[in-house]
Amino acid sequence: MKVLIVEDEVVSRFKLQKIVEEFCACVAVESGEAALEIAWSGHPPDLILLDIELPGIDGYEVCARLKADHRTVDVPLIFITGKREKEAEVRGLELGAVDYIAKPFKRAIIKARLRTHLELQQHRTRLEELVRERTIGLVQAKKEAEAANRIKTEFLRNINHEIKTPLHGIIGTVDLLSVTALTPLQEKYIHLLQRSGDRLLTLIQDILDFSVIGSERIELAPEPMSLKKTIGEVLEIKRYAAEKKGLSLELHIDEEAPDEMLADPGRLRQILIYLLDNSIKFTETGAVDIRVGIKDDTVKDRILLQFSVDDTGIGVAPDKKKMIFESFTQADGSPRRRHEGAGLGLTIASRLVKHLGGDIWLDSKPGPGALFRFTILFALIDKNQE
Amino acid sequence: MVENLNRHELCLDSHGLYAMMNYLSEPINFNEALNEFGGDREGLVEVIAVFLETVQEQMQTLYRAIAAGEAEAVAMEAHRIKGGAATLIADDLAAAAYALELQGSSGCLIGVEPLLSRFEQELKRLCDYLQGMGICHESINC
Repeated sequence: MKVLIVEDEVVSRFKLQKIVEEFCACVAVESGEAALEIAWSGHPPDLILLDIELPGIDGYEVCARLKADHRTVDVPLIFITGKREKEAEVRGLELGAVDYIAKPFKRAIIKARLRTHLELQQHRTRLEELVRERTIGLVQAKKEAEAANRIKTEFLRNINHEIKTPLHGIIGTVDLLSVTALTPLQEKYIHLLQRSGDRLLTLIQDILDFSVIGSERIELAPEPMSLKKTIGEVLEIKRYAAEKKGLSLELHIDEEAPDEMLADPGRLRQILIYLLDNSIKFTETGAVDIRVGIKDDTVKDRILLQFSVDDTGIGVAPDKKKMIFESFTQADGSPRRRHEGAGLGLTIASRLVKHLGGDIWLDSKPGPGALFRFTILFALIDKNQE
Repeated sequence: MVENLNRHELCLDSHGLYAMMNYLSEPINFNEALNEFGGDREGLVEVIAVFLETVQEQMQTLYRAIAAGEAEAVAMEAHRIKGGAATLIADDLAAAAYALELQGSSGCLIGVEPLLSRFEQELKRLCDYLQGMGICHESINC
C-alpha cells in the first residue's frame, strides 16, 4: 500500500511522513500540481492526505480533479488543514473526501484514521479482485455454456436430419402402399401407420425449430408481402385439420389495415400455424377465428398490427396462464392427458414474435376457449418510392 | 496562572502580563513534540532546524508584504508559520503567528506592528531556548 502526502509546510509534512511510514510506504509532495502528477503516473496511491492551502492550485481543486478522473476517483482522500471554519470541512467532504482532520493534528488521531481508512481500502481492493475473478469465471462459464449449446444444436440438427430421411422413406412407402389393393384390415393398419408417421414428422420438425430458435440468431428475410394472401395460405394449410373436427375457421381483417407491407411472410406463417395448431388441437366443437386489427399507426412508415386467434376450446386455467409459453409445457401435464405433442409450438411462436419486436399474451375472454393475441411492428411500403 | 497573578494583586498592564506569562512558560514543549514525532529525536531536531531556516525566509516575505500593504499575503505566510509552530508544540509562537494571520485576514494592516514585534520576540525566545538546550545550531540567526 502507498500513501500520498500533499503538504507544503515542512514540519507537518515531516510529521505525517513519520506516522505513515509506520504503516506503509509514502510519497510526500509540496504542491497540488506535483500531487496530480504522482497520483496519475503508474499505480494510484491507496490513500491521500491533502492540505487545503497550497501554493498554486489549492487542495479543493486537487480533490475535484482527482475525483473527476477515472484513475483516482475511488482513492480515499483525507483533508488535513489549519482552516478552522466549519464551511471548509463541509466543502471538503462534499467534494468527495472521506475524512477531515484539523491542524495541529495529534499523532494518535492520524494513526487511528490511517488504520481505519487503509483497512477499508484493503477490503475494497480485495473485494474488487474477488469481483474481477468471479466475473472472469462467469464469462468463461458463459462461453463454455454457449459452446455446449452450439454443439447440442448441431447434434439436434444432425440427428433430426438422420431421423427424418428414413422417416420420409417410410411415409412415402406407406403412401405408395395405401393406393394398392388392400383388404379392409390392411387399410386400417396402413392408415394407422400414416397417422403415426405424420405425428412423428411434426414432432421432429418442432424440436428442430425449437433448437434453432433457442440458440441461434434468427435470420429474417423481409420482402413485400400481402397480409391477406399470407394469412390465406395459412388457412388453406390448416383448413383440412379444422374441418376434420367440424370446426369453422374464419378470418376477419380490419378494413383500415393496409394489405401490403415489408415483412418476412415465412415467419408470420410459422407463428400463425403454431397458434392455429394449438387452437384446433384443444377445440372439439365450435370455431377458431383469426382477427387482425390496427394497434398503433402513429409512427411514420410503421404500423403495429394486433393478431388474435380465438377459439371455443377447453381454454386455459388461470393458474396455468403464466406457463403456457414455456417449453415442453401443456396446461394438462398429467400422464393421462388427451392431447398429443411436445408442448413446443407456443414457445416457438412466442420466441418468433419477440424476435420480430412484438409481444404475445393469452387474453381473458368471456365464455369458454382461449384467446391468444400477438402484435408485430411492420414496415409500410412507400408507394411513391415504388 | 492569570488568576494567581491577580490574586497577588500585581498591577500589570497587558504587555507586562504577557511578558510575565512568557517568562513562566516554555516556548516549546519539547517532550510532547518528541512523543508526537514518534520518539525520533534526531528527526525532530533536524525538522526544527529546517523550520527555523524556513521561518527566516518567511519573515522576509512578511516584512515585504507589510511594507507593501498586502494583507492577504501577510495572512497566508503567517498561516504557514502557525501550522509549523503548532505542530512543533511551540504554542506561543503559533499564537503570535495566528494573531498576524487574523490581522491579515481582516484586510487591514493598521496596528500590525505590535503583533509583528510580539511574533519576533516569540521567535527569538524559541531560538534562545533551543540553543540553550543544545539542539539548535548557532548558525541559525534568530
